[in-house]
Amino acid sequence: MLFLVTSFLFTSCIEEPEAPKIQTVENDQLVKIKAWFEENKTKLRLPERGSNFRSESQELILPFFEKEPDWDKFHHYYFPDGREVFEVSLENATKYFPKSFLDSFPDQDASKFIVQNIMFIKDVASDRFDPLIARYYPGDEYSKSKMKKIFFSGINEYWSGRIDIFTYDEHHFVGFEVFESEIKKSIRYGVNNNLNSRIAGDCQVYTREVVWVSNEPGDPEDDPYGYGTTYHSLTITEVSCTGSMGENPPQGTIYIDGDPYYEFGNGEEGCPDCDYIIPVISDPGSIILNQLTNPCASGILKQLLKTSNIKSSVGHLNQMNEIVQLLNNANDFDFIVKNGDLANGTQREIVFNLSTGKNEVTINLNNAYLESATRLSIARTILHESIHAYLLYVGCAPQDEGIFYNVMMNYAYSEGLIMNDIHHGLMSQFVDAIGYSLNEWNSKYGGANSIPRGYFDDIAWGGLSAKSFINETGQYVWYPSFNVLITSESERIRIHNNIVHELKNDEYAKSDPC
Amino acid sequence: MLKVILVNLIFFGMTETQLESSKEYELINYLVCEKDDSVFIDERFISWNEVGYHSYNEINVINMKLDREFYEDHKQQIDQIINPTIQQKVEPDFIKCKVNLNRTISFSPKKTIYSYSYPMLMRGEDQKLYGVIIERRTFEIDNYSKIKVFKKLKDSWELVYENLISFS
Repeated sequence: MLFLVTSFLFTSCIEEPEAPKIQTVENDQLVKIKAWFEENKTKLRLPERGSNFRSESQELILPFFEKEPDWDKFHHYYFPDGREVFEVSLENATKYFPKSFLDSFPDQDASKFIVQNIMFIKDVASDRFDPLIARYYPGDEYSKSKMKKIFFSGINEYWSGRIDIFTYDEHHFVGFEVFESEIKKSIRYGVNNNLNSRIAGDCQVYTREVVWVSNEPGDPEDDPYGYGTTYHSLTITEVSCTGSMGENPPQGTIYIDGDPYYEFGNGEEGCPDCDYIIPVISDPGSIILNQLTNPCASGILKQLLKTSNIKSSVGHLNQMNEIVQLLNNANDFDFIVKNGDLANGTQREIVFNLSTGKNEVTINLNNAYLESATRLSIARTILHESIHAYLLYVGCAPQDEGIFYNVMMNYAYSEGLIMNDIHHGLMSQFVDAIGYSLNEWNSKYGGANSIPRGYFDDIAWGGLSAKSFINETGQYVWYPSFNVLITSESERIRIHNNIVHELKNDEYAKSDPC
Repeated sequence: MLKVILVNLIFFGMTETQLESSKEYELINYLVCEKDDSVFIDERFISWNEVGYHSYNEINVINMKLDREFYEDHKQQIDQIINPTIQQKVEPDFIKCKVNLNRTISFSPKKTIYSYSYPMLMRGEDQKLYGVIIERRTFEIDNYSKIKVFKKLKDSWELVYENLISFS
C-alpha cells in the first residue's frame, strides 16, 4: 500500500531514498581506513634515509610530521582504472609550499589558501589503503577562490596552479603544473646525469634552486619577510616533462640515498613486501563545468567565471554585509552549465536534485535563445542563474544545517509561493551587483562601448520583472519586489522592454548578437 | 497531420483508437482542460530524458511498490517514452476541449504556455493506476517545472504529489 499523499510546493533538499545508504557505505569504509591507518601509520616509511631538504642525493624530502586527518572532511572517488580513493583533509597540519608560490601572492598568508590532503588509495590485491600526500597551490586569484572543494580528481576546469604529490613520509614523488585544468608539465626531482639537456621525449633536465617554505616559525635569517615562516633551500636536479606523461611515464620517482627506489614503468616500483607500498597514481582529473557547445555562450561563461565578476562588483557597492558575503561565497560554488533544446518559448532553466540524490545544479540554456539573444542578455542570464544556483546550494548545504532553506520554506509556505518566487524576491537585492557586473563585463569583453551605466541596471532585472499578463486589462502582473522598487508603471514597462530587446536582439538592442 | 499521427502510432505501438482513449491522454485532457482559455499548450512534449529522468525507477518519485506485471507488459512502450528517437507532439484531435496550441519556438511575448511530458503510467501493488507527468509553465523569460503524480479515480484524477524540479 502507498505512502504519503502530501503535496510539496517547493523544491526539496530532502535526500533521495538511496542517498543515506551511500553515505552509510562511505562512512563504513572510512572507519575501516581509519582503523587500518591507525594500526599501520608507524610503519608507513620508505627505507632509511638521511636528513631532510638535502641536495647531495638529489631528493626533496620535507620534514616528517605525524598526520592527523580530519576524517569528517573527505572526497570519495575512483581512479580511471577503478581503484577507490578516499582523500581526507590535512587542513590543520603544517603547510609546505614552493617559494615561487609565495611570490605569486605577495603580502598574503599563503598557508591560508593552500590545500593539503591525504589520499588513501585502495590496493586491489589486498585490504590496504596506501597513502600519498597531495598539496594544491593556486596560480591566480580565480584559482585561489576555488580551493575549498578541490581534490585530485575534481579540479575545476578553469583552475590553474601546481599540484605536488609526496609519499606519506614526505619524499617528493611527482608534481604537476596545471593551466585551466590541463597538465602543462609534470615534474620529478632526483638523480639524472644528463644535466641541462633535453632527454627522451619532451623532458628537460635542469639543476635549479628549489625553495620550500613552511608556516612554522624559524630563525629571523630564514624568514626575510617576517611572516613567521621558515625557508628551506636546496639545489636539485629537476626533470620537467611537457604534458602529463612525457616519453617515459613520470608518474613518480623516488631515490633513496641516490639510488632509484621507485620509478613507474622501469621495473623499479618499490618493494611489494614492504610495509608501505607507493601506489601508482593517475593524472589529476577535472570537473567540466562549462558544457556549453555554443562557442559564444561558452566564451561568455568563461569570461564571467575567470573574472569573478560578481565578487569584484560588491566591493564598490553599499550593500548589507550579509549580501556581500553571500555573493563572495557564490564564487566558491560550482555548477554545470549546458545548452539544449528546451520547451518552446523557454530561454533557460535551472535543474536540481533529480535522480542523483546529490545537490547538483545544472543550468540549461535553450539553443533557440542562444541563437537569437545578444551577448549582454546571455551574460545577464548566466549571472541570474548562478545566483539561483548558489541560493539552492546554500539552502541545501549540510554546513548550513538547512537553516536558510527552512527560513525560505516557511516563508514560501506562509505566503503560498514556490521557491522560484522566493529566490526572485531575494535577488532583487542583487540587482545593483548584477548591473555593476554587467557593466564591468561589457567594458572588458562586451565590445559595445556606448551603453549608459543605467541600461545595465535595467537589464539586471531580467527574470525578476513580469510574472504574467492579463489580456482583459492589457497589463502585466509584476513580481512584488519589482513593483515596490520601481515605483512608476511607465518605468517598469521601459525596463521590461529593454530586457526583451536584448533577448530578441531586435532593432532597439544595444549589445551585439552572440 | 496524418503523417504525424502515424509516427506517433508507430512510436507508442498503439492504434489510433487506443491512443485517443488511452489513460495517458485522459490525464493530459484532465490537465489541459482545467486551464484558463487564454493560456497556450505547447505542441511538443517535454522529453523525460532531457530533464534528467533516464529510467522507470527514477520516474517513480514517490517510491511506490510497483506491480511488476504491469511494468513487464508495458516495458517496450515505457522505454520508448523515456528515450524517444524523435520529438513527440501533442495530438490536438485527441484533446477534448478548445485549446490554443503553441508552435512558436522563439520568445512569445505576453503568452503563458504550459508544456507537458508524455505521462508515465504505473500500477502500484494496491492495483491503483498512477500517472506521473512533468508540467512546465512558461511566461516570457520566466518558467518553472513540477513533477506531479496523480491517482486515477473513476472519472477523474487526484493529485497525490508534486515537486518543483526546475525554474528560471
